[in-house]
Amino acid sequence: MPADVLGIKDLGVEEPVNMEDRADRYLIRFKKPSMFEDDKEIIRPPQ
Amino acid sequence: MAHASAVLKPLSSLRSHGGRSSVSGATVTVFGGTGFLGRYVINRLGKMGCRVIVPFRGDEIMVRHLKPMGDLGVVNFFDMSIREPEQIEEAVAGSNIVINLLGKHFETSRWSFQDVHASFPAVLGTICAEQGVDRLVHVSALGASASAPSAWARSKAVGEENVRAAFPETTILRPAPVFGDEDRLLNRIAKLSRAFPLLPLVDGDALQQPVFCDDLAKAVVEAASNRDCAGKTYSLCGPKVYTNLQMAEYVFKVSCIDGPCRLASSRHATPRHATPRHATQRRMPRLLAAVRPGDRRRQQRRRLAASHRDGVRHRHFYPAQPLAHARYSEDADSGDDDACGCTRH
Repeated sequence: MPADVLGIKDLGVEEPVNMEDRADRYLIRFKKPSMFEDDKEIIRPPQ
Repeated sequence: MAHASAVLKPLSSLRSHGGRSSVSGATVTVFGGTGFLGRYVINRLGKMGCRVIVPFRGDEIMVRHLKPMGDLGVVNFFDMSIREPEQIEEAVAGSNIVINLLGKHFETSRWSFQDVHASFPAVLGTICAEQGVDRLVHVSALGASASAPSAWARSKAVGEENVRAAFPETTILRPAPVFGDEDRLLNRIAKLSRAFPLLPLVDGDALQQPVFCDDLAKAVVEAASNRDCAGKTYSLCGPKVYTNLQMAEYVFKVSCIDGPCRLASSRHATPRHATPRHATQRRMPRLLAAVRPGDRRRQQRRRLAASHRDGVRHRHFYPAQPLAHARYSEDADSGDDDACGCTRH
């Protein structure tokens, strides 16, 4: 973004949130379930 | 002039944080309040004790989550259509701040980009000028340009011109792609990655600077409450620049999906908003079928299609899956049939 353009800091947001700091909190719901093994038997294989 | 003096106090009191039970005296009409950004904007307005009017179309179930964002009677809903100027006038009447968050990502048979992005801002600006509204905030998009290849971006640029011509003191906000809990940016990548074996990534080298939804809502409220913002245009971006490929890889990393081998990037693909959504959807199954012909999901789709033949859903019986607890009952079955204790046996 060009420096002379008015930006989000001019509207009082001094420290905008970085995507990597926040997005993992809600993307975790898409996390694939891990493998479940019980007594050397794979109950749920890795996806 | 009496109207102008009446709105001075409410606007200055917007800067206070009295809480949801406080009364700031300001009345704010938020068009597009039922959308992604709308809930964050209304939440912030509710915290300041503003009376909020939310024009909406559709079912009331789409707005019920907004009701607890303010005290009793603070968040009001108004069922209307933006095709009816009289209804727009009624929604704006009595408000000293109007925020336009309306936007569409795809056209439908009833609503074109021209209707929503270009024509409505012109009508809204005219009505706000007639009604003596003190502040009008119009949320456009960062890529808005009259020379853009995308019809979506061109219509956004026309909307900016129209609203500025009708209401010169409009504050125009041009946000970058927004991320947040309900976004269409990262959630779409994650959903596609789970549903399909590859991600058709359009122009992986394209740069984006996503902005957080609550930061954007804070900026919208600041633009609405600050008279110094009148007549200005702001470009709102996040702190860091990503390529489309980096964003997809980040989503893959968070959701533990195997890495770049699943990406199918195309530099010469059609721009995001230039193709009707249904055309992309039509091509998608063919593309996926060509990549993994024996995929389990493809078989599931066939089964589903077969079960819906003749337009009637036929009952389809799948082979019974072994139950997890059945493994633990093997020893019991050898001795006593009822030892499992399960009603299925």
